[in-house]
Amino acid sequence: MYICCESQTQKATKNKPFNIDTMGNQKLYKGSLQTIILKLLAQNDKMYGYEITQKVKELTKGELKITEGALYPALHKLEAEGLLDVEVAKVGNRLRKYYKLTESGTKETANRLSEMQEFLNTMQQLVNPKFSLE
Amino acid sequence: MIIMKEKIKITDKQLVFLEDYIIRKKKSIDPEDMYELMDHLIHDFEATTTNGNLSQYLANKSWFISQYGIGKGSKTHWAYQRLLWKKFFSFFIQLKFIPITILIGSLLLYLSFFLDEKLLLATFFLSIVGQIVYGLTLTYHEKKRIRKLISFKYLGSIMGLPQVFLYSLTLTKPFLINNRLMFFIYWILALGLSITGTLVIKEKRVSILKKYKHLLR
Repeated sequence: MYICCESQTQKATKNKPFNIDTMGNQKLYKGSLQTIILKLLAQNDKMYGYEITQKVKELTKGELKITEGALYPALHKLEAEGLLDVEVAKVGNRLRKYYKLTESGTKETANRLSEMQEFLNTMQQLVNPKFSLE
Repeated sequence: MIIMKEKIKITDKQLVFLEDYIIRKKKSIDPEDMYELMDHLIHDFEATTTNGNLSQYLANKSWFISQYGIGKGSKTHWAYQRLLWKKFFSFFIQLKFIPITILIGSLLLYLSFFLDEKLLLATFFLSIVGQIVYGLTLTYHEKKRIRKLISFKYLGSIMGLPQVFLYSLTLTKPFLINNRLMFFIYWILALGLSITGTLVIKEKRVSILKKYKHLLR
């Protein structure tokens, strides 16, 4: 399953044999990309772009893959909104750009996670009223 | 038989090739984006390729490279505009700023009603132009690598709104001169935004230079 921007989705569909279910699920995940990034950065002090993609892949056991075409615009947007701060550090013989949460980013993460929890609870009640997440 | 997959490691020659390729593809790339893009491509190349063919890898990634960073300038511009308005309103709602706002407001109100037309327009222009020029001088840095940073490049756009107030006076002058209360409101908005713009540029400049001190070395 891939989270990617629209034009890349179109491109990806040409190269990768997505089935209809996968494409449907991808749409469900797409709106959560920023929350996923914020949550990961809340758990880890600082992370770089590639590390985020790998962490998501690892946590979801390869079920969810964030493509670079979707990740960097999201990171840049969060940075422009002042939710992320950037730190450039020398690693080996090259420079690496790390992202970390700002003070307002930490508050926003808590807000977005509680919004997502509410959303999941509502969806749970709708699709499976017998079981609740809480 | 177990076949061990050999881990590909990018060579120094390939690093130079990669850097040249990115510069060729994205001529005025922000140095910060350059590090990020290179770092990502190196990681991905080392993790996903099996034959070590960088040219082939880059050909497959050309779409991502060409799209990378697009829209970052516009995001930065709007983030600065939001910051400008947020700071501007803080002069009217934050207790520590209210006395200075009242002082400047009273002075502008007095000048708006008691100065004759020529002197009033001259005072208006001097107060706004002075702020704008000072703010714009802060958007220059002698190091090209700093000037190429998108966050630094877009500092000048913060002064765009105060400039609109300055230029549009030529259109609104007849109305404003005959309605001095409106002139006062116009002036306080223009001056407030110019002062706020200068303060935002100053703060952002300091934080950018602090953040990218490695580019100054």
